[in-house]
Amino acid sequence: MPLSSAVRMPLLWALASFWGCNDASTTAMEPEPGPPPPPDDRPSIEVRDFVPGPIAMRRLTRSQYISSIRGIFGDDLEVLPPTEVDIRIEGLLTVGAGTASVTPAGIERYEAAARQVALDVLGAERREQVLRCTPADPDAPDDDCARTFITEIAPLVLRRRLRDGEAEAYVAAARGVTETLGDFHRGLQAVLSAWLLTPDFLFIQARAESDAGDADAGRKLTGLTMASRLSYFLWNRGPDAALLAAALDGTLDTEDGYEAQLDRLLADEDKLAAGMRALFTDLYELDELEHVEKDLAAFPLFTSRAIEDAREQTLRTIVDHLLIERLDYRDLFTTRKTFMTRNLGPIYNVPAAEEWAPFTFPENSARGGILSHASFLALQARASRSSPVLRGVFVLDNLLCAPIPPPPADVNFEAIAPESGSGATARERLAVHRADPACAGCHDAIDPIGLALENFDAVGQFRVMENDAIIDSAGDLFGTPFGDVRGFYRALRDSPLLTRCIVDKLFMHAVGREGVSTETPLLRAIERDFADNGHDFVVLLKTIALTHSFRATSGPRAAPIEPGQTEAPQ
Amino acid sequence: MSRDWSRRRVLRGMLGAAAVGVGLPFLGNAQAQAGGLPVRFGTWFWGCGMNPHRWVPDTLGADYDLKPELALGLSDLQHKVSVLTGFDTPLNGRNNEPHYSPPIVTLTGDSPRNGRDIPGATFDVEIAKVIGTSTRFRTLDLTADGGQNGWSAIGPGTPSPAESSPLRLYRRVFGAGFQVGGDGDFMPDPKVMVRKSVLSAVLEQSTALKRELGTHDRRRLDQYFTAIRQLETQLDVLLTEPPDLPACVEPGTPRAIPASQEIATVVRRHNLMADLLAVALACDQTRVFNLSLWRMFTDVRFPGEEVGYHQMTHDESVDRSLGYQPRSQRFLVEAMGCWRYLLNALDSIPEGDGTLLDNLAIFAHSGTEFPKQHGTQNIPIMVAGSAGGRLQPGQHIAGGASPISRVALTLQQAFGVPVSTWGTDEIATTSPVTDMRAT
Repeated sequence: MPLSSAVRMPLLWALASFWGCNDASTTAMEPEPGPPPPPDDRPSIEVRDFVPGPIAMRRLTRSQYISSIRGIFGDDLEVLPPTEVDIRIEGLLTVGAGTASVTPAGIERYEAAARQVALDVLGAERREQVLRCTPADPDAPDDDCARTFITEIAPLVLRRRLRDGEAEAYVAAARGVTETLGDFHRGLQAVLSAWLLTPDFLFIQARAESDAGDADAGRKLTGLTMASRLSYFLWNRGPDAALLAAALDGTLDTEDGYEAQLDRLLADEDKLAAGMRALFTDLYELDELEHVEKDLAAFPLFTSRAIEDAREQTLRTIVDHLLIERLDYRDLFTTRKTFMTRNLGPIYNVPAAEEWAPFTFPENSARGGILSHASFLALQARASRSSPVLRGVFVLDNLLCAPIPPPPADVNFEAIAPESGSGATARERLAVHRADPACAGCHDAIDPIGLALENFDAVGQFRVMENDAIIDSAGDLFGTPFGDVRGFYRALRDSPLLTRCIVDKLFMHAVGREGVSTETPLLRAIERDFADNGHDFVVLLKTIALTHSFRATSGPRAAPIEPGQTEAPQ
Repeated sequence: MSRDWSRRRVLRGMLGAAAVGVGLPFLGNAQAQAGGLPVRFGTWFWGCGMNPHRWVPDTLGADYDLKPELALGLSDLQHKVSVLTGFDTPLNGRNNEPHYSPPIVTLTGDSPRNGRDIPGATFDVEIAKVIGTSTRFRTLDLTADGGQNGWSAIGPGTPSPAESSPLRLYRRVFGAGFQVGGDGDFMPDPKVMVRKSVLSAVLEQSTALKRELGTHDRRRLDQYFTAIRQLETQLDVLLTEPPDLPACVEPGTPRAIPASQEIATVVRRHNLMADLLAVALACDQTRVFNLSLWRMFTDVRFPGEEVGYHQMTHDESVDRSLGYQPRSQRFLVEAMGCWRYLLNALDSIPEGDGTLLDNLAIFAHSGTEFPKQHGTQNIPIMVAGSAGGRLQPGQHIAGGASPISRVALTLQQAFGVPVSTWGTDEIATTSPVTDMRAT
């Protein structure tokens, strides 16, 4: 019978100071740097004598669909995302986008969404924002005014130049609809909804230059491809007018022109922040928070507003740390600095103002870094109990890129269920796993990570006891011992896998696919460059955008071989 | 409507696209008007299986003995539901992905390479290609537990998004554009014509892309074009006078039921979806559906419980005196109640000499046998309805450890899919379950 949280809380705070004395975090040590290899042997990010991986169209993720439309028509535009299924590959929807397709049920939703967007964008309330002319008669065709709209907006939606005669075809189309329905704006709405349904819009297209290129270096990507790549990588939306213009007039094909645009995109704080929010939302699956359901009887503080703020808290912390303060990426996992609101205060048991305000956890706090945030802790937990296994597996898969195979099919969890009587704490119950050699292979890696975070319950509230037993959070991370959760944060921060993994994930996110073997030296060079630059995330973004892999390809991806075929169809 | 509109002009206006099919009579509607009743196919999925000794009948053939768990689902409709036992899902030498491999093998005829792999199209899609081409919706995919997709996939790695809210299902089928036939004042809506011409324009402008793409992308673009063409068909149906179907009665707007994993909510959402689905079928809006009650690793729970159904099946011991897991059992009781509700909803609509259920076949399946062990053998299957006299319902049929693909093959053949062998490697079969067929 659990104590009500009102009773539990003061008790826990009394115990917290005791717990604070128990810190053994200093055991984690900085790895001793070996002698640096001679510079010539170091793989270089400048290297261009390899063939990078293939290209494929990427279907817009739900998040990209919304931000692409808002990027053109204004951030205040309400866009209901059509729910085509997003696919996660390597933990990222932006990588799954390279195989995601469009289904009949999906296109039905895209069509409804397109009509709604067109209706809103060209509705009486906001059409002046996008339409620079007024038709002579609102009930009759006006080709000149339609042409103004079409030539300006269509390339932004389609992310390309209009083909010969295409603009005039849209003018004629708008005229046809206007004549049918007796409304000029409905004519434009029809062409806008058509653009929003094209494969040009729904998929981020990718093309290589037709020039066969160098056999040892692959083919260069076209200027328009680079415009979309840069823009979705950094801003999570389509190219703006200036970037599109640079692609169309060839500026983006020059080194100087490319770097100038890259720097411009990196310098736009708000848009870069939007891009990084999307990236980390994807990486931490924060979009799943809206589906999280907790047992409200046990966790009355975890309201839907608290959930929304928990996500925002983590994203604010990331943006502030990486983009505004430009601090070491690794410290994101130890920093005591964050932001707080009134909805979150009770969960962290701290006083908080109504509005967002910076907040620093005290030095002896068990909180440090984004893994101690309610967002992550609640997401990787069950409805009313924490889950060391979910948390451990997530950290290994997504933060350390050390994926764990799924459990054997005949696993029996009876002995580790809380009802089993095999132990008061998760540590005692999970010990059963590690006694069984079939389980130990994986759980020796998973459990210490998850158990380190056991001082946080199913919604991320701090606790010292589970079922009247003191929680022991000591363990080791790949051989680095830690005495408590703060020691865990440090061990994680110092793990070379942490930085290697974010480099690999960010690279996949940038190119929209998994790396290929020819790219391994490049990835390690990026990792070294990241370290040389104090793990500055903005520098890492720029480094990746300048690599050969980001700008060239082996060619279009071939379809997998279907059963019964001997080779890929041509 | 006094405006001088012209369908031809719209179509000419939009990029001079060819006028395709508007106003042509459609086979399905013509059939229904002529009095022939459409046959339909559906699938129904519930996660977490059953208890074999409380499920598998002892006797074969008609009037089989009803064990307690089956009794919950069938009661007085036993004569319309066949129970199939002893059908297995071979894995083609791959790992068993618990709860996931069996449905994927069952529906695609191939074994997944990992817990997310979809090796090919599901067989409901093949049946829909035969019987679903003339209705407004080729298929309706529904999930009662809020899942963004059920099991249906149009091809490798391409799941179909599902309708996860009864209210959205209502709006999609019975909202703007829905018309009941027979009132004599049908008038094609010029706004629908505009929508159709928009699709023609999109197709016209997009074909140029195809030449530039590699094989991987060309396949995806083909899926895109297929999707656009199916949407054109939908609009064609809206532009055609609907047939007068006596069983078609427009439903009222349902109340919104916010999504939750709380069991009572999932049950209410399911049953409301079942009611709407029955009307959608009676109104010939679709002839194929896939309805998932709850997903394989379902987290549905009773209020106050620490964990949901799936986790509970692993945590809870079997009560020796009862022979099953009493807490987990409560979920199966609810699942079978939902199945019975769906069957009753379909059987309560008269059609021809029988009911809607008689003109339908529903293939019900789960992700495992006894959930604690994730077996791939004896996957529970029920087939309800006789598909307009093509199937012989009301029997217990034993598979004798043969592959489940035989059932999929039988069903596809019953609906006219030209297939004589189905499945890959160990799953491949040329041998339908002849006992399922009407004699």
